[in-house]
Amino acid sequence: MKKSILAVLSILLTMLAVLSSCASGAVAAGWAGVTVHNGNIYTVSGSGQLNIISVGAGDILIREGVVPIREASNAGFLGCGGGEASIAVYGTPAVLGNMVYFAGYNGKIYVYDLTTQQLSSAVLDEKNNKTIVGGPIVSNGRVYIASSNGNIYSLHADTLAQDWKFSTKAKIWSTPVLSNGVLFFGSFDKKVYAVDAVTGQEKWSKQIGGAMMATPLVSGGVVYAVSLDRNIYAFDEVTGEQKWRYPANNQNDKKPKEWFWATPVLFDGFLYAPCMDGNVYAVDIANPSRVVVFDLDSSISSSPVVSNGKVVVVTERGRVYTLNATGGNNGTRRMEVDLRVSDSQPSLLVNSQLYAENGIVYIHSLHPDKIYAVNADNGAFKSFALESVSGNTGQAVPTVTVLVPTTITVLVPTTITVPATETK
Amino acid sequence: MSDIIGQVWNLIILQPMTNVMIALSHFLGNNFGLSIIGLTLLINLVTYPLTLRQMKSSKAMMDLQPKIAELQRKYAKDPNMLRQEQMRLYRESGVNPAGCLIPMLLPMPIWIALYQTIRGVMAITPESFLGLSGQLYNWTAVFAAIPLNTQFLWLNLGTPDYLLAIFVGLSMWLQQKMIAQKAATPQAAQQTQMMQVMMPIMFGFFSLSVPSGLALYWVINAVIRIVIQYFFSGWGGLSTLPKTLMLWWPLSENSFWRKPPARQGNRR
Repeated sequence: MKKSILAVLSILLTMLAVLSSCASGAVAAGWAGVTVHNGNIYTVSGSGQLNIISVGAGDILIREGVVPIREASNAGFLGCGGGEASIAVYGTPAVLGNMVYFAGYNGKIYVYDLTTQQLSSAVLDEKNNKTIVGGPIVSNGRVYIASSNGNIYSLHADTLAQDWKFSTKAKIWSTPVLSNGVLFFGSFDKKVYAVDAVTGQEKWSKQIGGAMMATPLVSGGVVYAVSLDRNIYAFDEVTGEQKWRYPANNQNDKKPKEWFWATPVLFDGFLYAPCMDGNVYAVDIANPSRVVVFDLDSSISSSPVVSNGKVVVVTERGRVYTLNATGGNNGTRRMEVDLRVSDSQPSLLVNSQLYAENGIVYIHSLHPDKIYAVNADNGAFKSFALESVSGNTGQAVPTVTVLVPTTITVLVPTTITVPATETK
Repeated sequence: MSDIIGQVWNLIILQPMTNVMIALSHFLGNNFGLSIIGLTLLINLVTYPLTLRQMKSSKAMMDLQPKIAELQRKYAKDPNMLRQEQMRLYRESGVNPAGCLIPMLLPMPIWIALYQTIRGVMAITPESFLGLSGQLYNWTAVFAAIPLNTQFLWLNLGTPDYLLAIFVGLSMWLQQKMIAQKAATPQAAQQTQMMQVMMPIMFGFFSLSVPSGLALYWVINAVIRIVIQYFFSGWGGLSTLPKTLMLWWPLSENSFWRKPPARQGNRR
């Protein structure tokens, strides 16, 4: 009996330890996107390091610098998790001149000076410090960034001093987008906002059915917003008046099964909205009742990009597709490359924002922590491991230049063309 | 293999719990705290027969303590014989010594699933929130309710809370004290006393590392168990609380606190 009690106590302890903060997955790891500026690639690795990679002749990737982002952390139960922790970054870094801006999950905004190679940081809101999930955008000497405290901030790019802040009723995880002097973003309070970028005054806000994680897309005087309520909305950019919604009230049977998490892309009259249910919904913006549905293999939580006149989508499992809603009768999809298989990885996870430039699509995979540069025309790719270096809290490590020996080029001959389904 | 276990876990435990809790929250005015309380009541209602069996088993064990003490005295120098005689006694009395252990282990999967649910629906980390998408049933109410309101009373249900951790420790201590069995030997008494103190302290500490939504479940669960136990066997070990504690009780001397209900004897 005593032994049984001891056994129960042991099991209890083990179970509770699993529940405690030491358990894997309880910790935010980040999924920073990729940005390319003046031939350099910027991203933050899963181990919390700003990686600067240049694209050399022949598209060879060269590591230019690695900057660790760390801070002292509180010890959890039984001392677990104490010491120095790397900072998770979810948004995509933004570059303005010689400055690289990115935001940490610890509520700090970081600035890396490419000239002096110094990293500095500031708490976004000392009085109400909460996590930051979205990325910053920079324009006209200002940095715009949203926080889980429900506010969106305008900061002076040179000093990070606050210019104005605008409050919503719930946390904001979406990165804002700037168009014609107006910031557009979504909030957990189930609203889409349009806020004057100079004054911080609300232009309009519209209630939708669910929270919004994705950056809205603004094009041709229309704001396209996707939501966790599984709808795609189109609002007038100036008035906020709703133009249409997919699925419409009479199309509830066509409702996607899971969330719209990532920003859609507009190409050739179609809005390509990736969904967590593994489909991409291509909506004809002139006739929103016409939708081409592309069934891909797994969830999609990264935004598509347009590269060389093609819509490129990457699934969470690392399959790269090109889609064309106007091709053929019902559109066509082509799998250009399966990165997991071609790069011989046991698993692969892509959640981050993609970036396309000069016909190359840059993808940050989290497991393994790598950058893939994919030629969407033929599926050829190079991979580049984001390595870790040790460093002290908040200090930049001197720039290191390493010629990368680990780039791989694999030509994938097995592209397929599969007709998608169309709904009207 | 681990993938299959994960899928089965999600299908049978995590998904139903997540969706029921979100739907409950939706119908309770987007109040996830009430949803946790509702789930705790529901679980206790479903497991009531098991709880009752566990209580009966514990009670039978308690009743056997004098006989076990007698055996321990008799076979103090022969542990093998003692074990055999104890087993015979259990068998003849229809008591299964492990009978109270299974109901003790049963809540653990519920804790883990509740922890995973809270992490997802409260959007504690982007990773856990993103993973929630695939767990949701195709119910409009569920999609409309996400993300849930994290506030309940003074609590942010997604983060640990010191005051609630104290309530967890206190409620568990009361529960342990109430069900404490009369030990056959001084060593066993010491061990029981240690359990009474260690368990609440342990849970109190863990409450500082987990979302307060889970701690809320522990508190409500302990309160429900105290109520059930009271109707089953009265105040039990709580009736022996020191006099100083009794003075705090507003009904004082004439309170039923001091006098276990008369029906206690009839329920044996």
